[in-house]
Order: sequence, then structure tokens, then C-alpha cells
Amino acid sequence: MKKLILFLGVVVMFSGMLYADNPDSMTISVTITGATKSVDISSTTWTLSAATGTTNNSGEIKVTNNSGGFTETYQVKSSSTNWEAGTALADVGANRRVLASVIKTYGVGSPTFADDDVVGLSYVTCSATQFSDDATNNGANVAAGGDRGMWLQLKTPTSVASTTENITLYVYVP
Amino acid sequence: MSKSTDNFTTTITTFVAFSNNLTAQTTTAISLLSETTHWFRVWAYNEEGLQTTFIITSTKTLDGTAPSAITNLTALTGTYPGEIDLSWSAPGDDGNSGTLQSGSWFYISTTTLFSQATTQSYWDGKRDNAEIQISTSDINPGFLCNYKLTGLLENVTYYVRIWTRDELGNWSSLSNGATNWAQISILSIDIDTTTFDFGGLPVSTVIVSGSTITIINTGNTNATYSLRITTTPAWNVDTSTPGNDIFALQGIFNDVKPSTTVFSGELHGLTTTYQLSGTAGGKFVGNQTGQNVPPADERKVWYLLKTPLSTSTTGQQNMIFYINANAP
Repeated sequence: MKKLILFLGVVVMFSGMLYADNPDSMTISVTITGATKSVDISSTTWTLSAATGTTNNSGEIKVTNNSGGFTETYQVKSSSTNWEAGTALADVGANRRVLASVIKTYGVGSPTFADDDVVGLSYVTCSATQFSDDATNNGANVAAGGDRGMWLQLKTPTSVASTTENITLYVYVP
Repeated sequence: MSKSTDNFTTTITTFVAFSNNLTAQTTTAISLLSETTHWFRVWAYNEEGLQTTFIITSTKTLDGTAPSAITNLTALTGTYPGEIDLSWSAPGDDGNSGTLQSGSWFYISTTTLFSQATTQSYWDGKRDNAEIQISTSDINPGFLCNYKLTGLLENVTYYVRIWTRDELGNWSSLSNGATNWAQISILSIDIDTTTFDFGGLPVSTVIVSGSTITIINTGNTNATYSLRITTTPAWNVDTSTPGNDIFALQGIFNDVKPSTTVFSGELHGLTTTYQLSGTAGGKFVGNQTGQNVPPADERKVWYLLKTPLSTSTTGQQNMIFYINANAP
């Protein structure tokens, strides 16, 4: 009888604790409206005359997140009409150029270019290292209204079949 | 001398026979019915056989029958910490009949030791100094009686017995044994809704939740609340300053919807770790507090949301609000 009584006590105790609800929780939701993806490049052209086999740096080009609410991470690519696109800073050759781009804090001066700044023919997403020499302010997570300074470097081919080339640089918000 | 229980209407018993030359005699009437009025008359004869008039007196015998032992004592674990609820049916004043008169008592004794609970001599020794002595009167047989044992050790098994004593001190035998454990403290809390949607809002918006959200202490003991909020997959949280993919959420206990100016990041800002509600002027306090909330009491909670200044997503963001009941 003793064992029976104790056993019943234990069963009731656990059933009593089962209904305890602690902590309780609820989900709070919000959806941001009115934000549209948009980016603005302050200059639409960079025109230069350069000899073959030379390195040419642009001035600072302002890139602005004018989305009205989005935090944007840019993607960058280029296209060419006549020349091939190199894939590393040293990857120049006959009819083969290299275009590099660095996006950083606006107004702080020119960057140092590296191989991961070379712009290819397909979109690549900006990051702390990609198209960047600034781990904090670059083409990733740019707040709405935020400005960045974009710098370009063009290495011309060592020899060319066509002396005129139009290269288009795209900055895209996915 | 003769006796009667109906003033000599029908029942007469001569229990002291005639005897010569008596001038005084003392006698005891025995085996009388308890709680019954008895009439006695005495008379004499002279030597000619002439009979004197009767001298009649009457008196009521006392109650000599004890209440029956209680046989249906039950013990249920109570609602609040340290409580056991007892119930039993009242016996009669005499056995199972008669109303318990003013001056009657229930005596209740407990032990937490099984060895004592199963020893008759232990209970015999407890009867006259039982821990709980309940005065009662005008209780009819079968009346369902209840008594709440309080202040017991939580989660400890108690063995309980009860006696009845009538107004003349006649004791019942020991009752059946009832056993149960004293209620434990249960901290429990309920939010009356599982979701609240602020809906679609632009960035850089400051808004107070628009519907009442009620927090109920569903435990059995006072509780002090602590609150926290989670981040979302895309956003972090700050107590007061929104930013790039950073929202701020503040909470306040208030019976009506407060204005945005009532909130402050220092006092009402939610973080990803629990913060205890304070007293007046303290954390999360409006005109209500989340501190030392009694069982079943309600609090209203309101949120102030500051949407991020900029967001990397326009998908719905869900943050989980947690509220925990703590021992004060």
C-alpha cells in the first residue's frame, strides 16, 4: 500500500507540471513597404585615350543607393565590343584588357587594386574583399541613401586589332 | 420509588421496593437512556397502609454516545503552493444520528512520516493535541465538510486523520487515513495571442501596437516577468536606435494604449536576453508592472516598433517575443 500511494503521488505531480507554460511567446511581424531597388552612378561615361599596354585610373565616381528604403548589395560586371576581358590584373594581352573596380567610402581617396577587383563579363557580388579595399564600407549592405566612391582601373591590351573600344560597366541590385 | 420517561403517562417502573421504617435512603438509577428526561416519584405508607402523596422530580440524562468515526476523509492536492484540500462527511452527535451541537469539534492531525502514519499508538497520542482544532455547531449527519491545509512543505506527502468530539467530550474513533502531497509552486504564463502583425510600414517608422495584448499569470504563485525579443534573419535589434537592417522594439505594461512619447530605450528597450520587469519607474513599467503579479492577474503589454532606416529585404520579418514568469 505504501508503494502504491507514493506512485500515485508521483503521477499526479508530473501531470500537474505538464500544464505549466513558461515561458510563453508570440510572433511579431512587420513588412517594409515603399522601398524600390535603385542605384545611381553619377557619371555615365569615362572617356580616355591611352596607349597599348598602359594602366589608366579613373577619378572617383559616386554611386548612390537611391532606393528609398533598401539596403543594397551591388553586383558588378562589364561588357566589351572588341576586346576580351582579362580575369586578373596581369591578365592583359593582345586584344585583351583588364578592367578593375573598387567601391569604398566616398571621398577618402584612391584605392589599391587587387585581382579580386577585376570585373568580368558576369555579375559578381560585392563584398568586403570583392571590388573592395575597405572591409567596412564597400559595395555590400549599402544603406538607403548611402554614397560610395567607385574607382576604375583600365589596363589596355598589349596590342589591338581595333583602336576603339566601348566597355560598359554594370552595377546591379539583385 | 418509581421512574418514568413520559411523566408517568404510560411507562412506570418501580425500581426501589417498599421497605420498613426508612427515614432516608440514597439510590442510583442505572442503565438509563442517554439524553432522556426521566421522572422519579417517591411516596410512603403508614402503618395503616395509607399512602402519602407523590413527590415527583425529573432530570435529563447526559449524552453518553460518541459520534461515529469519519470513514470518508479525502485529501486532494490544493491549488496553491503548500496546500492540501480535505473533505469529509460529518457524523452524528450520537453515532451517525443527531446534530452536532455547539461545542462540538473536529480535530485533524497530520504526519509526513509513513512509519508514524501506520502506527495506531502515534495517532492515539495525537488526538488530544491535534494541530488543527475546528469548532463546529449545528452540523447534521452527512453534511459535507471542507478544510484547506496551508503552509505545508511543497511536494511533501502528508498523512491525515480526523476525529470528532461532541459537546460533552465524547470522542469518535480515528477516521480513515487520507494521503496526498502538498501543492508545488507552478510558474506559468499565457499571452492571449500568438501573433501580432504591424503590417506594411515604410522604413524609419515609429509606431505603437494597435491592439490589446493580455498577459495572464496562469501559475499558482506570484510571478515577476522577464522579457526578451529575438532578431530576425535579416535584422538585428537595438533598444532604441534603428539603423541599417536594425530595428528597435520596446515594451511597456499599461492598461491602455500609450503614446510613443511614453517609451524610452533605456526603460523599455527589449534585447535578445531576458530583462526583469521592475517596480514603479523601472523596466517595462507603465501604469502596470510585471513584478510580483498575483495568480490570475492580467497585464496589458504594448510594443513600440521603430522600423530600420534601411532594409536589405522587403519580405515579412518575424521576431519572437518571449515572456518568462520568475519567482519574485
